[in-house]
Amino acid sequence: MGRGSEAWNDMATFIVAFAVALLMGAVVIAATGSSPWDAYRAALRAAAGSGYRFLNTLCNTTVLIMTGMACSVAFNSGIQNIGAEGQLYLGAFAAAMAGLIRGIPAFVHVPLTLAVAACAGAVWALMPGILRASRGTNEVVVTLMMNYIAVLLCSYFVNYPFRNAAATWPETAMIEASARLPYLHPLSRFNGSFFVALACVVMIVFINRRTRTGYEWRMVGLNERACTVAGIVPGKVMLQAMIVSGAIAGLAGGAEVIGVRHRFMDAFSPGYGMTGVLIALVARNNPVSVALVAFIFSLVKTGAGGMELVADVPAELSEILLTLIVFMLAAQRSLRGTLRAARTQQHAGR
Amino acid sequence: MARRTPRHFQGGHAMEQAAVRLNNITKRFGKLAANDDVTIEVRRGEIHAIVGENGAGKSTLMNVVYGLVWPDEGSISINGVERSIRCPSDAINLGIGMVHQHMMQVGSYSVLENIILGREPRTKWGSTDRKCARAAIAQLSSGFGLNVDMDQRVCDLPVGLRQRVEIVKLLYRGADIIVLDEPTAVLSPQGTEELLAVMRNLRSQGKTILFISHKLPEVLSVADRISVMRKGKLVATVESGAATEEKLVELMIGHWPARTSGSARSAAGQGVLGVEGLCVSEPGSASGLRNVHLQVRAGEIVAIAGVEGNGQRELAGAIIGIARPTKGRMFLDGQEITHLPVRARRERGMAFVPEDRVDLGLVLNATVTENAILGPAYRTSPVSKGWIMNWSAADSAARRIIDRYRVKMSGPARTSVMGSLSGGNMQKLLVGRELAGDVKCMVICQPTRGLDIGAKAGIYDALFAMRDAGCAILAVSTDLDEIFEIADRVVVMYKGEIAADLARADSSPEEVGLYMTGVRSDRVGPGF
Repeated sequence: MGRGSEAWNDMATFIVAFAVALLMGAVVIAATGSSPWDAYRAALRAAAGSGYRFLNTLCNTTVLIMTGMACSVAFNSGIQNIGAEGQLYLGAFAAAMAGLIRGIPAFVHVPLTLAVAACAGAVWALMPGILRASRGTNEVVVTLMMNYIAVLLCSYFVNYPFRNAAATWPETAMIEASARLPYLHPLSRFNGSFFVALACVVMIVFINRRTRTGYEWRMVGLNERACTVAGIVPGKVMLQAMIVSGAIAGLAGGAEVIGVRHRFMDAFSPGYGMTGVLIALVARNNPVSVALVAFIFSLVKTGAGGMELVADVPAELSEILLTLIVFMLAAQRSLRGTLRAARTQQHAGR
Repeated sequence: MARRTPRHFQGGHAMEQAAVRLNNITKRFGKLAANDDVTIEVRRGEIHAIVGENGAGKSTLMNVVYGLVWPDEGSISINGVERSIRCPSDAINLGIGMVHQHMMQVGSYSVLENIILGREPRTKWGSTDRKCARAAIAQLSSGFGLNVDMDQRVCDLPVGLRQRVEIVKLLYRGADIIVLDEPTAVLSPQGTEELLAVMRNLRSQGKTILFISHKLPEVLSVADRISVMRKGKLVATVESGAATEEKLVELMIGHWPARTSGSARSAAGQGVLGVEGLCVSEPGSASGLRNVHLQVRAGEIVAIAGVEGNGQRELAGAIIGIARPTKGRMFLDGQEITHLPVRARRERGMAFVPEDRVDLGLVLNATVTENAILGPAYRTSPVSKGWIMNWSAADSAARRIIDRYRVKMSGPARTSVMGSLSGGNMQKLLVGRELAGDVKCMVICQPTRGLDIGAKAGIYDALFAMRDAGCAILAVSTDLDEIFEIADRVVVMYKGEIAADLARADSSPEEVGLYMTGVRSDRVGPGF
């Protein structure tokens, strides 16, 4: 598609941004009185120091890949779905409900649960999509507000009608064993849902490159008006993308439930949906980049925990590092954009 | 054709000192030399025209003079002194003023406020001294025969008057050397005549004028000397008295372009496109369409003439289906299409080239291939089979357009970004794409705006070929030369209505100009 070289270029930009962010982070760590070298070593050891730790990092990557994919599919076609968080919650809750059904064999139960999760996410994304397509309502506002509705709605369900009385934390009962994805390592919660996330990436790459739908998504995302003139109805295309986006976000919630927690827990997400927005922006909606960026984000977050334990550096530093990465990227891109604009202006002047 | 007024300081020492002298200017953008060793001398008090095809480097050269672009090599002398012009304010301080193609004005400000913007005379209390400004401007504009109403808002003025405001602004800032970048591109014939009169007037008062134009008759009528550029190089500077249109074209493109079958035809077939009583109202805009009746027959090119903003955009939009009519009906091949969506109209054989190709025609950040199949093509075999795209088929579709219309680009279609092409090449690709399918009816707006002569001939050839194959073509254009080159019938729009429906053979640009400016009107109703 001719975007390969651009994607590599993006990756190089990202690596530079990451390196600069690490350097600046080192300054912050040094300012707190710890040794940056020790802290980073501890972080690396915690995130990838041994097989099971690395698998833990991959396990944490899973949800981020999917929420990142969800956002990038929507952004790519020009509809700003900021609602991955809400879609994730509903997907997770729906998966827990489906997982509680008894007497279904595993090879049916697992796909069924995931399908129910995807449907729940898609339905939640449907309304802002329809409003945008038919009325032109700003989807950012609608999806953002619907996040609160979704999170609080699930919180109500799990505090009252579906609460597991035996547990101290508001959560549902454990789902049936037939609906669970088994842990693949005795020391880690790494499980098959990671491959579901990878399958999502492969599927979206396929849609984007090989199908008419992907072509429509891309063109509508780049120039809605030209598409209208060409006979494409942007609203319909966006709605399609929104449904797929919501489904992936719902799937992320479902994967978390059947793969990691085996039940729905209140407030289980530390902002996976919003991190997904960030990942999609950093990866510029390129599915493969989304997976890589999600991995690096997860590496930083997982590493920060180890850093806190060993080097006495607060785990919140991970937030600083991620923010710095985003800043560095934004700076580099705006610099590149300015240069390009200057160049094209000169061309136009001819 | 060229006659000139005697200039009041012919000869004398002023002649030795050129007002502007560009010495060996070279400006490169990447590998491409937009200006290659250009040396031009503009005498004081002359009108010096610069002509050349698109991309010949005229605008770059003017931007060098005005400090918008820095040359890589060469130097500039103003009134005999070598100067370095690093930015427009340097140029303004040296007495150089420029009217850009797209005028930079504050629409909601009055004429007076626009003229003094940035150079407001102050009273001793520090507030703007309007009285003083008004007097100064009144003196300037009456001295140069530039009558403008100082209290009107600029956005309410027609383009011609806005240009005039720009010129007064330059004079107010003390400009002696005035650079005009394609000033007549947007004017009606009458407006052009008025502007040319203003230019002559300025010259007689001792101002030096440098102007760019594509239109050779006006260049020959107003300029003292003409510099011809081709591919970044100065080909020649000639006295306009010694030049003819043919000679200039030869200098510009190196050969005289083969004329195509531009003769009007009367042997048109059945009505293909019918418009009955169409009304479109644009919220927040004065223009719109009022009760428009129109018919385009198979094998006929109907041109819509008119000054921009008289409803042409609404008409074209309503026909292709992006503007919603409030009243009236439209037919294609006898079938009503009034309520069909764009896609259905296109699938029934309609094609559309919008005037705003960057915004409505193309997706600049997508690749050339992706743009070449935008429209009905991407839904049909061989570009897509069912849900699956066949990119090599898409590439060959793109390649066919590129070869046929000689679209120039640096890389393969699959990887080249649309926005990296020049304006003319974008238009060629767009027209090629729209003409590619099985087209019964084509609506094309400003078919050759911004194209050079060679490319124009290519587009005209394609249109004539389509017409001869029985396609009904509706061409919207503001360029009367173009209209009289291609049209079989000329329909003139004025204030959202059809002011005249003329056979090309019985009409003339002057007559059309009268209808365009509202001097005459036939109010063409039903019954044609």
